Amino acid sequence: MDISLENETRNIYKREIEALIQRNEKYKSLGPTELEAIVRAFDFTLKNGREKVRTQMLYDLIHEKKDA
Amino acid sequence: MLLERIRLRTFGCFQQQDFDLHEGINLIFGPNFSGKSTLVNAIFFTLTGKPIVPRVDASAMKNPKAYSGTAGLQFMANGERYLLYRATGKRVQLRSEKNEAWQVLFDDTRIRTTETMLQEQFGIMHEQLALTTFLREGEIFEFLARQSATRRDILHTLLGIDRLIGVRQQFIDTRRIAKREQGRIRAHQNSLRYNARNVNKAEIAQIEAKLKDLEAAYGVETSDSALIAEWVQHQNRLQKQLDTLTHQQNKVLSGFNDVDHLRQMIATIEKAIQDTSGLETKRENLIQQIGRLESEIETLTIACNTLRTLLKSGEQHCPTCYQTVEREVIQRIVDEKAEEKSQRGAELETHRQSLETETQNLESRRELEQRLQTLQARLTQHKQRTQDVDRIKTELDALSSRLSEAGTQQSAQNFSDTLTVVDKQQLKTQIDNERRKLDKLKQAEAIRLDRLGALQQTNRDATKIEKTLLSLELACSGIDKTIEALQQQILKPAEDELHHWIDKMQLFGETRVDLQREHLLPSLSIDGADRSLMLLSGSEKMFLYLCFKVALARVLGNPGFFVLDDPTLHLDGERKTLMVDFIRQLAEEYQVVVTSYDEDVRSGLEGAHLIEMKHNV
Repeated sequence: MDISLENETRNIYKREIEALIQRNEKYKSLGPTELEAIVRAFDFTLKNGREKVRTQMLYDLIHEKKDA
Repeated sequence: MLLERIRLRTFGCFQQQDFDLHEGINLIFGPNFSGKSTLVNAIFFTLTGKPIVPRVDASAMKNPKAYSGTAGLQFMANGERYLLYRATGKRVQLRSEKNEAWQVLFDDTRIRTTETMLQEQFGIMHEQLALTTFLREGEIFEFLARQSATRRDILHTLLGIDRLIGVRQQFIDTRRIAKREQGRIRAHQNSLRYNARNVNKAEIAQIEAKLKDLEAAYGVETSDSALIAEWVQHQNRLQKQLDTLTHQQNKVLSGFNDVDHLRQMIATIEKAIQDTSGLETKRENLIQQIGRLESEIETLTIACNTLRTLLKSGEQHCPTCYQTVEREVIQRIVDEKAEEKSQRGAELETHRQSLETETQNLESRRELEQRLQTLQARLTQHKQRTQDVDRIKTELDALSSRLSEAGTQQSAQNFSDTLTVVDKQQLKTQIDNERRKLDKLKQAEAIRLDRLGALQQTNRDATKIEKTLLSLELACSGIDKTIEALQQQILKPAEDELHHWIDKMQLFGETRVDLQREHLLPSLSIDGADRSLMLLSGSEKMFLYLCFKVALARVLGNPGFFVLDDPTLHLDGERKTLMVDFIRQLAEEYQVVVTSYDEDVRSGLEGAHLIEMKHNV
């Protein structure tokens, strides 16, 4: 995947996640921190590929604080 | 954006050279190592700060003999002329032409600031430019090589949908593991909840209250009764002491009416002793006088005896001094001496009597002194006893008043007697039992609190894992939506554009590419027959790729030009013609910069603006 498309995909992904949070009541408990964490996890997996990403990494990414 | 000029200063193999560019097709033509790709790199580097070939280091693009290389690009954008310079040392300068003079608009070395400026001013983004505007040397070949290895769907790969599906799968796997973890946490939670509820807090409170009552009861009873009993005992003890002291006091005053009588006697004796103060001296003098008199009498006796012996002996001369003995004189002397001796004897006798009297007086005085000492000691004892008696009496008074307050001495005595030891012991045993029970419960409570802490931690973990699951669910849904969005926002317009180009290039006859088929596994229908894209030849895929690149450029945004670096590499004659045709078609809508060393391309693109490069420029 070309980098620009990757960026575009990331932007789309972020927009879609935001829209899902807005639309769906069950995601209301997830705030901006979680949103950023999800996008970060998505980005990380997209860049590194499934083979290099482990569950614990994703878990840590999701719970990682923004400033950490 | 219309590129007008490339300006190079110690950049790559160029020392200082400008290259003009025109609208339509610009063919940079020359043999290998003539600097064609350097010009392509110069355009890309000026706009992005990076080489088009990722493996090349930007600093390597400068002239080996120069400290820093500079590439510049003059272009028209939004009706204005600009000149953008970028040095390999990261400095970027943007000038605009105003009244036929260049005016500096921007001059900075910070990469991020520069990128932001270029994006805001001209919409230039490095990645997008690389994908939609530049066809780097060998890109198609690389792509085809990659495809031949994987034989995966072209569009699928181009849009990276397979990678998105991969990411989604990874999220699903993670979610499955998180779900398992959630199950484990819930089981632990339930176990802790059960344990945490297992102890009855009310029971502890009940026992504590009971124990408090018991201890209070025990405390009141034991303290009051024991205290009164102790007071009474102490009172008795004090009374006994008082009796003893009074008896001793009376004994001390035995023989006297009272203490004043004793004091009077002591004073009398003291006076008597004082009166006989010269008794020892007087007696000493008498003894000395007696001694002297006895000595004189003895001398007189000896003298008398000697003289009488002399008289009796009839000697004419004295045997000692040889003087003539005068008997009458000697008899007279003897008589005188005898007389004197007699007087001294009388005197001695008087003195002896006096001495005896004085000795008796002295003994009496010593007796008096002894008596005085005894009486004084008795007086001291009496004083001490009196003090003790007073102290005890005071203490007894205090005790009596305390006992009066607590009741009567008699009743206290009776109460102490009636509080049986058995009752006390029973109460104590009961308290001990309750305490043991309470200790056990408290221990259990401590364990419960510990488990409660663990439960709280587990609850936090549960919340966390729940949030993780929710996040992952959202992440998966987000990917599905992203795929849909990609299809709607990019793929559909791209598909339309692609078909426009396929029609324009008259590729594949009636071919139609269904880009939105499930999981983007498109099929081609050539001459009415379904045909998998995987069955396309390399060249067909190449042109499909080019068409799709242009289509993406239209959808994602293109600055208005294309740069194709040696696009006919490894193509046969027929495909070269197709490529030239494609470039011509492209040039109808965009400015195109093409590099090539192929004479067929040169002849095919006849009429294009030619920049002819020479070997070792």
